[in-house]
Amino acid sequence: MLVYPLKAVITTHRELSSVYNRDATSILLTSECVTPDALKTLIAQGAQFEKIVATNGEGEEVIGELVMSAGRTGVDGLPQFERIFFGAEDSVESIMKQIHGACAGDEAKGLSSNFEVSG
Amino acid sequence: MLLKIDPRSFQVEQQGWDVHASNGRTIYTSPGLRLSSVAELADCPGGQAVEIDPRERTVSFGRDYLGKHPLAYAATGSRLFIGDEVSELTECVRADGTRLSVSERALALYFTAGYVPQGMTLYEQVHTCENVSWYRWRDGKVSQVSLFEPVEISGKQTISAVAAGIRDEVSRVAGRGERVDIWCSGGLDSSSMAQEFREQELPAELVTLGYGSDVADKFGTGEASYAEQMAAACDYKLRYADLDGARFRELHGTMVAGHISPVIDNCGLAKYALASLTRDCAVTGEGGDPVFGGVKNDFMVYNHSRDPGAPLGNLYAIAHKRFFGMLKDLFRRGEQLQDEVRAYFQRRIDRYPGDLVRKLFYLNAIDKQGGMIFPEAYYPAKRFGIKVEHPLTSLQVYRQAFRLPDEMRYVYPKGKLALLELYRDRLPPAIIERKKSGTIVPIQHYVREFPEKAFDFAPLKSLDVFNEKIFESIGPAALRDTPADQMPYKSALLIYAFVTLGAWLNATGGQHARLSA
Repeated sequence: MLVYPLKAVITTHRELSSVYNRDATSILLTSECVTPDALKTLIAQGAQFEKIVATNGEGEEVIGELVMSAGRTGVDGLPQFERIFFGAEDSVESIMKQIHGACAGDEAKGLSSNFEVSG
Repeated sequence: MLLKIDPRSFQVEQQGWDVHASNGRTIYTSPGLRLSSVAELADCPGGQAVEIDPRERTVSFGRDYLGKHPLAYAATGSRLFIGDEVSELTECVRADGTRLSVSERALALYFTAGYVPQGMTLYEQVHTCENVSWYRWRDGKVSQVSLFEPVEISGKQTISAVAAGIRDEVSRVAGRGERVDIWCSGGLDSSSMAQEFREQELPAELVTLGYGSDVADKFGTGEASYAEQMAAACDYKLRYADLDGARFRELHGTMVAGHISPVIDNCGLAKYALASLTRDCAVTGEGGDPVFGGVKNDFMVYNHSRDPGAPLGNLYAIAHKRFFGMLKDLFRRGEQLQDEVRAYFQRRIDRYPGDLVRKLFYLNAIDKQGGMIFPEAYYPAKRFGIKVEHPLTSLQVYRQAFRLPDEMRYVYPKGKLALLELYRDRLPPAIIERKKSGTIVPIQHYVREFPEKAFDFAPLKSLDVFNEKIFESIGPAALRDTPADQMPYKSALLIYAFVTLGAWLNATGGQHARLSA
């Protein structure tokens, strides 16, 4: 079974990746930093992400390919895309907060019940 | 239904049970159920039973295999009480001269899971009966006998066998001739029930959750548009159970006065609203998630793959996404309680066979349904004098579905695969393609409807179990300072959790309780 983060954050920023991937909120959100190449490999293996967060323009090429292929086959299964930009002066904590906000989306706004229900 | 048994004389006072004599034993069953022994609960699709054998000096009791019908008991020194209403049992215990005590562990599980798991209540003296079990009282002691039988996976099992089981169950429910209202959110599970009724040309109407304009203006109308599409596709009338502020207040009062435990899942309240509008019999889509999918599966599988050595009990506690991480802030003994909660869930996980996904299916179908989902339908139905049926989790469908290889139901990160295969071409595409949202109940708005006295946390403080500081962040001031649409969901949920807990304890005599030693 192919297992991968449902909310992928595209970055090659090593320090951010290291801290982000061990963070409790990231784990709760099933979110992880991946490099553009790793993302490409996962997509080729059949991964279907809920959300892809591109940071500082990284991974735009992969996103473009995904959108192009959706144009051919329909939008079913296309993840939501978010874009985050940060500067060298931004701390890892503040970047992570921004990414977590983007990943949480409706959950953070409180519009999704985030409840375990059926029916 | 209530039974009071004197264990010396075996004299019984009872109300609400059917009585059957059998070889010197007396069998009490829920109305309409016929059993010759409680051992038959292993194949019972719904109901409760008590068997009294004066010669053996035993009392045996339990609920149906999956636990659609709740049952609880309390054994004091002088009497054994068995019934389906926890509030009646607490009253019996107090009238018998026993002081109620609150279980700290049950409180911690309530804040972790959002409900008190089956097998316990918030009171040490009153226990709910677990499903897949029966109980025997002898010489003042109660022992639990497991009826759990793993379902063998069969490579020959087909989805059409599951489909036949669902069809049979729908026919059985419709065959009673009652007026059926399908609780339809417009999600896959409940919509599939509407479709089954339509295809069998059975009369039914749909009932869905509605909101007052005060809620709709700020938070939208939830899933209503999907329910409308489903009603149009089936040509069934759609009715709205409106949950405006006043109705929320009223139904919250009804719920805490008699629910089996306090529940942080505010969908429970939605079901009281739906039940209040239902004519004779409600049909739900319950079971779609636990039997065919499971909302915790992705979190568990993902994190287990990242760290296969991580204790599953800890992961499962976090997976509930309630307040496990905050137990340290809520409770004075928060860290120890976290350990107890982890250990509790680890034991529950260990009791089921198979790999992680198989275990999760059992936890969802047995523990979660028996502890939270089924009571959330049983008590609203009882309060409003209706019946409620869950065809997707009938005993037959459960067994048929569990015979399927797990990958026919769930492959990370996709669940309900068997249901999707069954209904993909039969339901409107919008229902099939929509993202699961869960029932939307904007709790940030509703918590403002609680009356001032609901925030009197003095009885909770007197338990001496919570950190005093937490009460500062959940009082009326917190609501005054933050508009509803800017309030973090989790903050509102914590207020809801404490107010509901306090109200439930008050309604069940807990204001006189102390913390268990």
